[in-house]
Amino acid sequence: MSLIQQALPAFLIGARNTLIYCFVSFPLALLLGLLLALMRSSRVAWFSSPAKIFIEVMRGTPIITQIFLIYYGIGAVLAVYNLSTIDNAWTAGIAVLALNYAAYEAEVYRAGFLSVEHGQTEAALSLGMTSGQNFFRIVLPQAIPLMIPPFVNDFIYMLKDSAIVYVISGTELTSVLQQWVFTHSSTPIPLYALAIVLYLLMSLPTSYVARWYERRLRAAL
Amino acid sequence: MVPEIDRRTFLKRMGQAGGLIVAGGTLESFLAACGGNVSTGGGTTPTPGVTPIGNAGLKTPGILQWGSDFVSGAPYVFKDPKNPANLIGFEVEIMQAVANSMGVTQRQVETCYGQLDQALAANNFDFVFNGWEITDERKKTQLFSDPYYRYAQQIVVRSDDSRFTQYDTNSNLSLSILYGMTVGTGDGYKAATILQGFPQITTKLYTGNLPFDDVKQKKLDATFLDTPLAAYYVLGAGPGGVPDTALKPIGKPIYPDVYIAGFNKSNSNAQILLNELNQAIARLKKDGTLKKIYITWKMWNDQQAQIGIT
Repeated sequence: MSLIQQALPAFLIGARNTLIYCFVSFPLALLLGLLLALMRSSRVAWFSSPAKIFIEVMRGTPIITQIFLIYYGIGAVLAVYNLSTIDNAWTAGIAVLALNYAAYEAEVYRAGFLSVEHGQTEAALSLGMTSGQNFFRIVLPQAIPLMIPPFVNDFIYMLKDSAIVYVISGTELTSVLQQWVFTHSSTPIPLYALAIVLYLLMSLPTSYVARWYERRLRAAL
Repeated sequence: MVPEIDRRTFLKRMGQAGGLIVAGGTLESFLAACGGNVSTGGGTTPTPGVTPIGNAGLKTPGILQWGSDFVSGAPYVFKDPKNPANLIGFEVEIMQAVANSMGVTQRQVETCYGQLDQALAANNFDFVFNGWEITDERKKTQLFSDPYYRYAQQIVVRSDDSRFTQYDTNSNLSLSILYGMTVGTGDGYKAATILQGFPQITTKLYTGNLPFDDVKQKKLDATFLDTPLAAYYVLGAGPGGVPDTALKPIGKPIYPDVYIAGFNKSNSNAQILLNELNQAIARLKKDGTLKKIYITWKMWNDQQAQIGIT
């Protein structure tokens, strides 16, 4: 179909942008999520309360309102200091995806830590390890294989959620699709099919890679 | 471990669950039926002594349903800032006048602007009436009414932008002054198609929000869109409009075109309703209603004579 051939270069650029959004935001979300999970599990109220509030707010509000707030709301504040150009579709999109998903990852981390038997921690402490050594050498390595399926799930969600940048005039696969559907309104179906195929091509390998990695991790333990 | 329950309890639980599902389903369809679009249909007040135009081609008899987008839709169709339950706009007034001349009520069917083509193809409403233009792509699947407004595209920039201080609204400018810059417009606008034909300009497309804020925040160098939008948002024309001194239009309007209503070619009623709408538009042009509406919204200019509004 010549329409698909015409559209393919633009759609591939859109898919590339989707991958850039996800590959930059997801590691940030994982790091931030780990930090939030540690803060949340802390006994010090100064750490656990802000973490709890952040997690509940980010999980409880729609991502579209969050992105409007960061792009237009914070952009208006930054405009006063002539800094609003740093708040563009890329930075705002990555920031929102990272912050929003960090809240979900924090809960996945917490579930992972709680699922490691407490006996492991007791044994580690009784052998004279510090809490830090216990966490990084005993608990975390055992928790990670358990957390990989939810992380992969969330990454696949993020591949689709990255479409949210459309509302702040970002370019990624869904916005390219919308533009092409508008300018080729008489034959939109091949374009929708092309976009679906591209999204599948991005998410299916993710599942396979994650399953392979999980098998290797379990074997190593 | 599945707990042991006897047959009687099992049947009772299944009945309760089924009842909940049925109740949930009827509640949802009940709410959906109650919800729907903001209706602006006033009562019909046909002018005495004037024969009503026919309304045989309507999808739902007695209601003229027109597709448009009220989100950031000023001055075409938008929620009254003083009374958000009402829709106002020059297109609302035109549709009300057309409905009166047909002896029916009108109802706006809210659709995201970028989805209007698909919604028209799905027969969600009778026709699109939202600053619609004729394009080669749309000619394949749509029929077009007579024009009801002659408009053009306007470049808008920041008032304090040093690159444009020498220009004003009387300068003869073309898009070449924007080469190498980032220009924003709405997704699906004719301006977007025009801009995308210039690879020397980086185009950013906005949906749901107009690019004016981003121009003011320096995320864009300029915006390029329909003159009614520039008149309302920048010059504050029309009811509810507030002038924005941070922005200024430059250059005379370029790429003149007309607004028409779009009909679904594959709809058997389309040609019938198209003829009726054309009759209504011709009547509104002749009896001065359109001119009065455009003067109210400060959209009147001598260009309108070219489409028969004098």
